[in-house]
Amino acid sequence: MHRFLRAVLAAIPIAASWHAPQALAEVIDSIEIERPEPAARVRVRFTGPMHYLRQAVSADGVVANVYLQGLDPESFGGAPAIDEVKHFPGAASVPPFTVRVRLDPRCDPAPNPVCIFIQFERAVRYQVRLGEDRRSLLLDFASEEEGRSPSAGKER
Amino acid sequence: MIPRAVLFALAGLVLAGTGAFAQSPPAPTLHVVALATVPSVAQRPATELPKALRGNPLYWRVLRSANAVSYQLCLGFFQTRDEAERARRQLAASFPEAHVIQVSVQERENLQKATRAAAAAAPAPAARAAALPSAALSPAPPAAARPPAAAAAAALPPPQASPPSAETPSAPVALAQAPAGSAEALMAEGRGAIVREDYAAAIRAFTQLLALPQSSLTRDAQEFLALSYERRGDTAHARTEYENYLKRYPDGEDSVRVRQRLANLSAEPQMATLRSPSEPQQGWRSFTSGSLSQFYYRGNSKIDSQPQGPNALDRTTLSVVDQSALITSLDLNARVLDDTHENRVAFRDVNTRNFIGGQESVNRLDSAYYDYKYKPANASARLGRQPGNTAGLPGRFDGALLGYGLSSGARLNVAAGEPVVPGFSIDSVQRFYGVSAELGPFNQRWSGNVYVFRQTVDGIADRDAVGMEGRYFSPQGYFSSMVDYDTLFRHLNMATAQGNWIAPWKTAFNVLLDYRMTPSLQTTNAIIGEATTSIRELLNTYTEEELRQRARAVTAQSALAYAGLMHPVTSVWQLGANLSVSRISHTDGTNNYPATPGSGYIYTSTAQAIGTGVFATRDVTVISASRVSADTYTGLGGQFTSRFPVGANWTLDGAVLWYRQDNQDGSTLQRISPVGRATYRWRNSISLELEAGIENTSARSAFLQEDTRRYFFSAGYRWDF
Repeated sequence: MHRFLRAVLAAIPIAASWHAPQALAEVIDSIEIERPEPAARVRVRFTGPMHYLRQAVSADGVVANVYLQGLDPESFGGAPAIDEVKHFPGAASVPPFTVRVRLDPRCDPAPNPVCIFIQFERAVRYQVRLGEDRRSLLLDFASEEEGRSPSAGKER
Repeated sequence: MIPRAVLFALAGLVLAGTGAFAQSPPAPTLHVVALATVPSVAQRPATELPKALRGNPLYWRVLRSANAVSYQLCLGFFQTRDEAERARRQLAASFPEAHVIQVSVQERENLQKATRAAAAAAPAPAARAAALPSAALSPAPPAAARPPAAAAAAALPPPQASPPSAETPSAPVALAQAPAGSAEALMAEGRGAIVREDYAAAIRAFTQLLALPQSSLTRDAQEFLALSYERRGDTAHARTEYENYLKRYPDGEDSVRVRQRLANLSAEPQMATLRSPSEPQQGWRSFTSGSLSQFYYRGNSKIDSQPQGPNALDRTTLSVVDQSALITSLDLNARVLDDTHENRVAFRDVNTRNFIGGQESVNRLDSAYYDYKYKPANASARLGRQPGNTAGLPGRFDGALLGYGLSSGARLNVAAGEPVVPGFSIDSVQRFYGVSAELGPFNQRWSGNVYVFRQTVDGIADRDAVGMEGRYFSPQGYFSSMVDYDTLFRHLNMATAQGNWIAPWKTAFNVLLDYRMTPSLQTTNAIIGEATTSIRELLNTYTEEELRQRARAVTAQSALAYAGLMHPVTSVWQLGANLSVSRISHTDGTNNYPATPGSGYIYTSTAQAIGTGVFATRDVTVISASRVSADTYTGLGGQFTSRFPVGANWTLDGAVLWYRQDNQDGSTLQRISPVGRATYRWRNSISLELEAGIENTSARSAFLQEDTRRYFFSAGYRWDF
């Protein structure tokens, strides 16, 4: 069953890539749980290197704006007409969230801005920082008990 | 300096005049059970404690007589003699000589002080061994298979022959007096939980400790976390945490022990019967997520042109629909994994259907790859269209990327394929292969990579590069630098240094120095300005060397220096500023492509205020002002944006952008653009979105006055699954 499924899953992209036209902008490669509960870490992996500029997180952690600068904008595939949006379905100690990526030069005065808007579905405590590989954003979550406490919110 | 092992050898000794304590405690308000008296701590009785008594501290008391010293192993502390007697009776079989004695409260405080002193010292390997169940040092069966009291014995200080000392001792137990939430308190909590076999609590404590800034306890916490998972029977997480340990601390005798534990872990059979029903099922699991979205975009521009001057023509007005398109995007991720293997498929495709005559409809495949990981060997294989998110590789390519972990601090990657350059289709075949080595992390902070890369185009060399990257990563910030040198052109292709640092007073600094050839240096650049995009055809006219000279002649150099800071001034507002200087060089051009002038230095300064909770609980508001100064123009810009959720389902975004530019020739440009967007989320899986805006642009020169008003909107949905 799994062997068959794996073979089918493998065949789809390979076959598709044979006839694929050129790529369009794509900044987020994947969103993965890197460390399990209770203090989970989520890594939002990008398709190119970034430089961290600044961030702002709402008091309850529901909304976070992270401003980055793309160092190799060519790797994103060009400026898109639409925002890239990816939804993370959540895990035990990580509420579901949506990441919106905007490459519009008007979203920040810096050259090649990459504006990341994160919105969680409930209050949560976490830290946001650029990953050590410069190609990812790390979200380090506090334990579930702490995150649900009235004092839950941002950590900078 | 006292060796750490010796420090721990003193652990548990309470020395403050115990002879006097034993005979006539000044304030006998507590009781302890004196289990045994031995001439040397090396003769510690190796006997188990009943489960009910494992939370009580065990410690040594020193008994001094006129010409001898002996050691009394005690179990403390009981409020009443009756409680202590009950404990003694439970221990009578193992400690027939056990008896109850009175001690002062001061003795318990002495022990606590000693414990805190121990916490201040770096924990020794011996300390870790003593504070852990014995299985930390040697292979052991899973938790449920061990004797019930095995963990309790571990709370005893280790057998040792170190000479006793009259100095204040250190002890590896009872750190609960440290401030709640501190590394010391969490370490004590975690250790205590291990001894109690409450592994969920231990995992919680050690994970919280690891989230704190680096300290002398971090290394131990990482090992204890892995051990806690192992004892809980969660082999997958235990393996991950042991591997994390080895990545961070590849060297040292502790690492040898952890490596052995990891090896034993792999060798131990999976015992599903040991897991409680509430624990996650191991074995094959599958996850699927993604989204499907469709958005319609429409833009309408109205342009009023009024030529200036004595013989100017009449005013003209042009109204045109400049955008009408339906964009459909499909994003799919599927994973099938178990403790050892992980299979992943990623697929992303964007289709643009244009409704305006002359504008082509296009379908573009962003990603379509299969990714496989074999966790025990840190091996991976990725096949298909993928981002080149490993050093030296093109931004996106069709091909294969293979990786293998040579050791805990080194990983080898091999890649081959064809680069994909969005929006740049050529009639030539580019192929590449490359090898890179990922190194680190070392000391949990240093990492980097080195790579070699070769690319061909229509059979000739296109790009040959070597490069390296070094990184320093700490809780306070990071610093990274990378260099890419083209050995074919004998020219630096790219060099970057960047850093970000948060000072103790919460000011965040960031710097960036970036130099690169633009576009990236390669022989293929020679097609710029040519009638053909085939290198093969150009080779009929030019030699390889001439092509490279032409490529170099149309490739510019870009340089950027950027520095900024941001500081929270209140709980709502943070203020910041940044300065940048950038420059793009001229190009020499070719006989078919004219030379382009350089940009000169462009100076940009920006002041910014970011507020959270300005208008509502969750809004994030940004106000910024910028000034741009270049050789041929100066510009001023302002921006106001705010974004906030309303209720559980709505999110509103608003922005007003303004820009004015004064050119050296006397012409001016002014633009203002308000934009709004509303998003409604329905049943957590459907998002409906509407965005609308206006952009007013006024351009003035000696010859023309032009006003452009553009209306634009988009509407659509996204289904997340």
